[in-house]
Amino acid sequence: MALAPDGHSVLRKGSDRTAGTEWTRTGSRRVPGLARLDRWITRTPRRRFWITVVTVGLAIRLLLAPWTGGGDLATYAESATSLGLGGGPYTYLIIYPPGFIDLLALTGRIAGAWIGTPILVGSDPGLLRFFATSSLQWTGSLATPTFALVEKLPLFLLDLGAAGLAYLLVREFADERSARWALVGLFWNPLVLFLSAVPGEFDILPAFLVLAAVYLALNGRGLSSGAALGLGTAIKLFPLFFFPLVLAILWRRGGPIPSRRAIPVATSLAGGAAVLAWVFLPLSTTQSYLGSFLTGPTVGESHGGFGLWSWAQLPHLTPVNWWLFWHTAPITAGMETVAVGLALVVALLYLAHRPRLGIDPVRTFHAATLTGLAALLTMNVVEPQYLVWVVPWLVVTAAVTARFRWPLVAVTAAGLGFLLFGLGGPLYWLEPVVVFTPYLSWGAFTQNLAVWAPTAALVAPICFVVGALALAFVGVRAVRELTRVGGIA
Amino acid sequence: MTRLRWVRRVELAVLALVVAVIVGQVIASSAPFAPSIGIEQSLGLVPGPTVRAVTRISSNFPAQLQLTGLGLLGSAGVPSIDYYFDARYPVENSSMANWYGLPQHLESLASARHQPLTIDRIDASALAGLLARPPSAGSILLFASGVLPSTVYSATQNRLLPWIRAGGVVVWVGAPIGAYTGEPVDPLRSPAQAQAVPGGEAQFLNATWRAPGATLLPTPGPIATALNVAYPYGLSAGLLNGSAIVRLGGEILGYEAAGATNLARIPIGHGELVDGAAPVVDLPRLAPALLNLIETRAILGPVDLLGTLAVPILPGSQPTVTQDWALPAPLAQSQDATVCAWAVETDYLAPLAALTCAPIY
Repeated sequence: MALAPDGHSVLRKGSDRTAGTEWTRTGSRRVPGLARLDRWITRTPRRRFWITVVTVGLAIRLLLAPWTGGGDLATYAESATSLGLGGGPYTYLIIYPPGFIDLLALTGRIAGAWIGTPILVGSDPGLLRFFATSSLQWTGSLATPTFALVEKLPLFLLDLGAAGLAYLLVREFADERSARWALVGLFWNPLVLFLSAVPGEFDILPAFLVLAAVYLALNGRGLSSGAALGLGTAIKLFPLFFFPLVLAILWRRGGPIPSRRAIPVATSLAGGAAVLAWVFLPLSTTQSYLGSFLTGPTVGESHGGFGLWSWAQLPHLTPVNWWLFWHTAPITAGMETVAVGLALVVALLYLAHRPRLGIDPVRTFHAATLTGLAALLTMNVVEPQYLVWVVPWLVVTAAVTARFRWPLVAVTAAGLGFLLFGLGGPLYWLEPVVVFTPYLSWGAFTQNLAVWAPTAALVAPICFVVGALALAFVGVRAVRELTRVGGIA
Repeated sequence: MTRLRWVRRVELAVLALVVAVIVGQVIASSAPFAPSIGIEQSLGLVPGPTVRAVTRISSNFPAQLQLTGLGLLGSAGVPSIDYYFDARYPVENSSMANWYGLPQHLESLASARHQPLTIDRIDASALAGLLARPPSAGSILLFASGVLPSTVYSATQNRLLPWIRAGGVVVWVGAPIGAYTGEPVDPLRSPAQAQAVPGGEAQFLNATWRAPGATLLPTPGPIATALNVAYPYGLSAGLLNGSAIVRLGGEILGYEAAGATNLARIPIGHGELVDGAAPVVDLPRLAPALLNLIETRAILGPVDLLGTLAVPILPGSQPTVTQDWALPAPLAQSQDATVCAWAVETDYLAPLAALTCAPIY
């Protein structure tokens, strides 16, 4: 199967040896225990299928959202509290570009107008008094259930949007059944679901924009694909690494006339630059972001995570903890230079493939996976939410290529396991249950944690090893697929 | 055709997000709702001699206030802060994030109070330069890493203590002062571990000034209550002996437990050491605690508590509170004294406060 340079897809069912990729039907034959789900996915009428997938996915998220916290939710609760107190949104906890703060300001204002209460303050006065009279040694920024919903609801829509894009990408280049697997694989993915619904990690937002950029580029849209990446970069830096690949897609897709190839590339760059300039240049949130970014060690330390060096933080091991420290600005710049270099190499490999025009979608998915991995490889801390940078591409690729299914399951399970057992485990995520409901007391909670800790020390390293091996397999496999046929022109 | 429709929908979704972020940026950059407490204070002398403070309060959210009268000799202004921060050096009973974040919290709080606050961040080299010069009045030197850098302190040198004796004011939180020194490392390498200095703490604190440790102290002292210095954490390595410090002419500023405290002002030579035997673990509490001490000048020298009153405020209400504070003889007879009315929010984060001062002739 290939997409012709003029934009009309040329569907060739079955294997596509010219592209050098294994092209198999999605199904449950190689994944035991999923036969019933496969039958349901295959046979359910389209309307009922969509309603069920969306309803179930959203319902689980909404059930979890108000009573769980930590992660980005806590960070942005402090930011919102600072805004509510008349200060700036940037506290010592935040080093991100301003995009998500801006989005939060909008949703906060809308929600505040709707429920009649200012919502920008992450912690309401009642909660403030709770802590004033409490002897808890609490050191985080606890968000109210209302604030948790306001922060997480847009993420749920973007979870759905990202899953919808995965569906579109697969449907346009394969078939309805594979596309449905992609939709379910992403929207019901426990890792993606947990990350948005519990700690409110906003990585799905830039991940959605990267998916949109690649989808639009595959359809020859220069300006909007560039704008999507520009906006993604204004939210979190990793979409920046996808610019070379998106430009390469537009270049390959542009046809034999060089000027027709250059135009979408140029408009893509213009779209990206315009959005970035608009978001970064004029206003105060931007200035405080740049100030925070430039003034040195921006965030201090993290707490380990699902990364290359996670083993070193495990109990009873030598505390090799340099990687715990979030990078200073120069280190970040150096590491991201490496990531940009890797992303450029991926794009060059993608361009060098013969024939030099036309799109092979599976190679495109592999290239996108590798670009996401390039960003992960250069981080000194990889927390589970960063896996969202590559999981959508694993889902899309797994929907059309059998070899990526087990890595997808392994990465999902490892990330979820690390979230549940490492990083403070339930203490981190369930704090609001203790504070806002009568169902759990601090005493019972602490007692349970004492029991939990040894299990966590056993499970977390296993999760790390499994996840790292799966990612390594994905990387090696994607490189092979990208370089196998045609070679460097 | 279907495909083109979906492409356009995706483009619209991207466009909608771009618009949402831009509109949100305008909202985030404009003045949002801010919990605010309006405080108007007036001070007058009535026979006694007594100071009468009239405080008119308004608030747009339910709040708890503490209204306190303070008397102090002299008329010192709010001090500026030299803040030691150098990420190449280690921390102890602190963290890199909190060490870096404390001045941001202080500045944010001062901004919410509409109070000017000057904080100069100085690295280890600049710290050595500062300690080589005579201390300047009207500034304090704040440490929050728990470790003194090797540029000024080691097993063989101590440039900080002579500087305090010469009149410097040092505020210390983190590991016990003098207990650790640290060498710098390249940011790409593993952070160096702080090195213990045997007998180092004794260079600053006499053994009789110290007390057994505790991680949480239950009772705020009188000044901590009046000024809302709500930082109950202590060091397991040791606290400060309250009575011994008071005998020296010092003052308990923090929480207390069995005669020990986690924060005290200790006169050393011509200078002052405001020693926090407390870890740097909770900036939302630590920052207002320190700022309250700084704004009321309690960090610079002795203050007299003239009276204090807890006042709950309902949103929309505008109560007026009148307090009469009898002046103690030293203040009443002084030709250079100051009386201040201090109103501070005591809710968690306690961001808002106001201070009105008047000289007494």
